[in-house]
Amino acid sequence: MALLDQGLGPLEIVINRALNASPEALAALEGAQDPVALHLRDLGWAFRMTPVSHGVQLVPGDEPARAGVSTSLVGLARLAAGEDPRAMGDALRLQGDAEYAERVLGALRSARIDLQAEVRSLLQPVMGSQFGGQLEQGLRGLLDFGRQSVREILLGSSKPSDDIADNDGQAADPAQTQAWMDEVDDVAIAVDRLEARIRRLETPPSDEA
Amino acid sequence: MNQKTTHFGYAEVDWKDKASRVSQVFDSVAGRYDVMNDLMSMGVHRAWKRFTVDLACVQKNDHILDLAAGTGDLASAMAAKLGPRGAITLADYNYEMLSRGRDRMIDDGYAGIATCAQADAEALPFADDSFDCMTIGFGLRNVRDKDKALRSMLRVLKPGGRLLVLEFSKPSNPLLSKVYDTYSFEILPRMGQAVAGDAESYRYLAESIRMHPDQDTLQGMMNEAGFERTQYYNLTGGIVAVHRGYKF
Repeated sequence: MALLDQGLGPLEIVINRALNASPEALAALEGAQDPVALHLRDLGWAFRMTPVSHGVQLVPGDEPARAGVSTSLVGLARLAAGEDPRAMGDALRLQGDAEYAERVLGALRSARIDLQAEVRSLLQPVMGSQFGGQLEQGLRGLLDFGRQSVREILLGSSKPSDDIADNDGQAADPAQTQAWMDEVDDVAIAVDRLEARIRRLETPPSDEA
Repeated sequence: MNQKTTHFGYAEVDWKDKASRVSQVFDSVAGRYDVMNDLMSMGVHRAWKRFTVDLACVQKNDHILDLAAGTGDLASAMAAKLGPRGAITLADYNYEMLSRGRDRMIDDGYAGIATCAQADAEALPFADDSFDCMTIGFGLRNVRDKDKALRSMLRVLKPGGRLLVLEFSKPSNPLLSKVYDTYSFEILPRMGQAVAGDAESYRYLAESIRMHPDQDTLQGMMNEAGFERTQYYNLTGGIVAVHRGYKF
């Protein structure tokens, strides 16, 4: 569990930084005080995530909580990247008060944690901008490789356009298809943000600055 | 231990003498304190402090108390995260150290949100429930009655507020512990003599670290004082640990 002990601090810092950069995400946690038990099945890590005034607190331990989430490291990364927990199927299992778990996870989801940027900001002051930048590039390559591998496993294909038979030369170029899919992702993210902003505008202003 | 005596490094001294002795140590090293920190830790103390500040998760409107603020490096890093409605108070028992902290806050542009108080951690001169966040970096081991100081910190913390204690602790690896011992008792005093012209103060530093409670003991003391959800993070193999506790 030493690795868990070492890893929880930086993980908490990354999550809280993202939450504090997103007023909608932090607001979604308001009033939530009970811990959510998290179990990362592949690593055997068990810890509790408890909402606090400035974000969340991560504490190692497998004590029962109001709600529980069991997933893998990849599942957690998908969640942090903004994927809807209800659309993750067996990759993410909820126990106990599922509504409460979804509320807390929803806050994380709307925070849209940029892992690469967070790692860079954590490492650069310690290792310098040049080495930190190189490390980030390496991490980016590793994440891209992991993302592509997951896609291949899930879709059984290295590129979406490979699935389209180009019998008459009308199928799009693979690079164009990929670019189009990326743009669809961008639009989806923008729509989510727009929805969040509209919700904020619809909420009566509070006295707090 | 008899209530009339306390530790000053490995020495047992009269209870009322410890504060003045510690003060003498910091009077002696104040001028070269930051340089010595960089030399002794090979710069790693900056990463320890950055981790502490990141973990504190300062909010822009927070009111912060930095105890044992010293030359103000932790306070300055936290002040950078505050907005115009935020505030930070630097407190230190030692005037020489505090005046250097005050100078740093002015030089770094935080004079408008920073105040300074020469204060004893055992009897903090602030109203109950005053601060959202409190830090004490490499200062708790110099406090005479740590239990009393922790209770005093709890009193001035707002409900929901957090205390972070950055302090030397006990390395978890026996080999690292041996290397660390050799470094602390053989090299550190010589370094102190060469750079700050004071070997004795740095011998006290090494001894006071060994006399400080280990990670689990300090966590127990925080629980006993009334802090909740306490936990600690080992840094650099446990040479240093950050303890955190909340008041609810």
